[in-house]
Amino acid sequence: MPSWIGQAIKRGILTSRFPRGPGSEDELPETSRPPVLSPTSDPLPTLTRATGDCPTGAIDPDGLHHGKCVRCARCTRKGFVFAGPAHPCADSREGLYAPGGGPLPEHRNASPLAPLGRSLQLFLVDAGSCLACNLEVLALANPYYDSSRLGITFVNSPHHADVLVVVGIPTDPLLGPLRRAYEALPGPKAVLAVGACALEGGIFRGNPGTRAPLSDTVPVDLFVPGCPPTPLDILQGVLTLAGRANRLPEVHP
Amino acid sequence: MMDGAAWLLEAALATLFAAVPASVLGRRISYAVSFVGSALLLAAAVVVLVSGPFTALQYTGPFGETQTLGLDALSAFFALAAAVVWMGASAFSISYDERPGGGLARAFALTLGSIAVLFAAGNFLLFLAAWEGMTLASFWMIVEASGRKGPVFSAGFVFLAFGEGSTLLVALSVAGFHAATGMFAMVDVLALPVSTGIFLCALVGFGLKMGVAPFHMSEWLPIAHSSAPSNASSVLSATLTLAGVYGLFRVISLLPVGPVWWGAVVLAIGAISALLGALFASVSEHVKGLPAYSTIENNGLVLVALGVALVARSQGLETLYAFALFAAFFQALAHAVAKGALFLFTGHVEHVTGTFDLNEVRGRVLRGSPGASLGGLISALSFAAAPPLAGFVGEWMILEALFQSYRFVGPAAEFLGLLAGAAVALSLGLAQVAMVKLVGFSLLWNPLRASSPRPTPGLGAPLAALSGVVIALGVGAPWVLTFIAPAVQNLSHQALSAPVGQLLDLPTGWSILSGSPFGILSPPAVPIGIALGSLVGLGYFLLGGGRAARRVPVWVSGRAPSPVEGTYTAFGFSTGIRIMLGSLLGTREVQRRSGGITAVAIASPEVYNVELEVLDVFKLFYDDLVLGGLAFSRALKAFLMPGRPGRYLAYVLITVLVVLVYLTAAG
Repeated sequence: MPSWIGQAIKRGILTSRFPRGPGSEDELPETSRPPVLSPTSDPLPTLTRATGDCPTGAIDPDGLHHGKCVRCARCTRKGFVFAGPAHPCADSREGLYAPGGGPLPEHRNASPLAPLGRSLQLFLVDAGSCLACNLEVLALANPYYDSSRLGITFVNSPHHADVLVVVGIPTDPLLGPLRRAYEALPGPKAVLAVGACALEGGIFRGNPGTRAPLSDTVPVDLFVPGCPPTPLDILQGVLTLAGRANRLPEVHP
Repeated sequence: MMDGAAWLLEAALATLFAAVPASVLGRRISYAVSFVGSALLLAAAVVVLVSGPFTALQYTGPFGETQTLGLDALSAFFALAAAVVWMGASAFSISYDERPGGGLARAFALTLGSIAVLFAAGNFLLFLAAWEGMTLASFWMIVEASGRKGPVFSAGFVFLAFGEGSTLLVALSVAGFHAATGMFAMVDVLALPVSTGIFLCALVGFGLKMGVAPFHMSEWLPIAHSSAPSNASSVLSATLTLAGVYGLFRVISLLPVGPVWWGAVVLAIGAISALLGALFASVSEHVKGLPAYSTIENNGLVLVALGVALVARSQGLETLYAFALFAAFFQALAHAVAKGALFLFTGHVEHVTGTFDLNEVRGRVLRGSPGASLGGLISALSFAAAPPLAGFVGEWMILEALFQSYRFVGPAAEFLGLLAGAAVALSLGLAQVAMVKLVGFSLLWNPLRASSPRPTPGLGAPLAALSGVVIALGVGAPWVLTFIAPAVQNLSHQALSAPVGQLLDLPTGWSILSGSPFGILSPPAVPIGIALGSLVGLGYFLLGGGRAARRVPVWVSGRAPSPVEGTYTAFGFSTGIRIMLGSLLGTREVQRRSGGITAVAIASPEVYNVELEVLDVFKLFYDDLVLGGLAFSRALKAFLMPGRPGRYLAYVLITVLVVLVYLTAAG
């Protein structure tokens, strides 16, 4: 008997049970969770103190914009902790703004692809990323996350896709291809923006040759913040697009 | 009546040959004379099929044998199919041939005359002479337009090499007849060991002319036929291969009922040819290469039907035998007429666009002549087996015959029938891809809105007429089968329990029965069904049904597609087949760079192409054969003719000694 069969039996099923059960995220760094104001700190002075320290301008005296946050952890010295609810997403840029620095409300509304039911094809476009988000998105296809068990697969042409997954800050040379890819998607279609760069530009915002935010180039249906977001964050975003997140048990690892 | 028919045949042959000198008066006159001769031949053939065989001319030949010229039902059937194509091709050539001088017209007329004599020959010597005349005249026709140089000229020599090989094997099989019967007349051979040799020589010899596997690919049929002028291609592809079918059928009609493996060999060769022909047709971008490969496929289908018939005959399945034979005849007829029209259509394409590359043609053809476009569309649809056309009925009959291969006795024969059926079904599907590609990229697809070039008066009418014949053959198939029953009977006269027509209950009115009981098809009902279905569709459309199509640009890795790139290409159309069936096609990637270093080239993909090349395994074999032959003759030359006078004197001495010994022994 080939050794791999025995090994496979010995190891058992390693694939994540998410979204039917908790994904084992024990080994992820704490920055995989969104930052919230520490329960022990006073909102207004903390926000004001942290505003100057935030390199991307995510923190202002009134609140925290999760889309801009790159999870650099500088604000943890000023009273923030990475303990927000896992897998945040929103269907608008404003939806990612948490007034007063609290947790984001659970977002469960945007489901433009609900008619497509149980099968979704993703087309990934890298508009100008550092490749971190690419790795996380493509990790969905690996045996651990195994998105195909949920009917979610990657395709090689936008003509075959339902969802355009965009990572990275839109750079000038990629604006045309982005629009063309969006045009090429057959309807019903949706755009999923993944990662701080795609959402608001991240640390590259304002650099020459870039055009943040992405929603100026193509209409975005769902924003998944994070730098980079974890594969489960992205999976949760895709399921939300398909209207399948409502049917799931609450996920709090 | 008989006298009238004899007069018709004599007049037809005389007129067909009169077209050769008539070319001195002008090529148009020559083609017109060919047209009249073909019409006379058609009339003679119809008379034979209606009222029975006759002999037109009888004389004593150079070797003291009795030569006859005449038509029986079998040859009349083939003369009829050929004459229909020739009428179309001659009428087409009047406007098509614009080359100065009458050379092409002369070669054309000579080819037609030789093939007509081949059909009329009642004796194997005349048959062989006509066969060789046909080969030489066809060679002349191919090289006539080439200007004695270039690839077309060398393709002509490839054609000639295979043609002479064919003549050699046919001559061997004729020698077998002479050995068995002591004469050259076309009479039955009854001894089986002799007939096996005759059968094999005939199968390979005539198979060479039909272009079936493994004598087919990449070399003589596609290249030679498609590089000739289009009217010549039409005559070659439709009727030269038909002459091969006729020769094979004629020889089989004279042989006794053979063992099962005869039919099995024919069936296997036919299935492989059909599959490979369709496969290569579907990945061809050459306007004429594609129909040429389709010819291989269709001749393969004829062989498949013949193979089923032979196996069934050997195993005593008379009804299946009769049905498969009818299928073979009908397929041969359908292929000849439709392929003649399709090659004339390629002439029209050439005339309008001046190119043979499907990627370049791009729908410009439609602005040429409506009649020619209709002819191309109908004939291509016939090869795609679209009901109710002739090709549909022929391929339905062949598939029905293969479905009944479960009646074969013994697991080996049944298994072969199964494999052949799968191969034929696949080849029919691939043929659809090929024909959709040909029609789509030459007629229907005009993305660049390219303006139309030259008007083409006179090319439309013959094509439209031929396409009318294709439709009539399909819709009227039950009556056509009854009409050709004498020819089928002629092939199968040996000791059946009933005439073939009765075995199939002909005439069967509006429908075709494929056995007792098996399948049934009513070709005349099909157009009625199509009309009703169209009415439903039209009603749905008029009531506001249907949805507007959304048009998006093609996806070329996100780049803005250039006007040419932004359209679907003929190459792209069949790239899926290239990749999926790569193991059969020998597909490999070839990188072509039109300049600059690689890094620059990747940055601008316009100058850096990855192309997929397909390769025929048989071509490798023939290449090795040619190289080996050259090496052998070089070695032989170095050994035998080193240039030493002493050795040459020794040869003379040895020859004299051998002759002396022989004379002494004989005396």
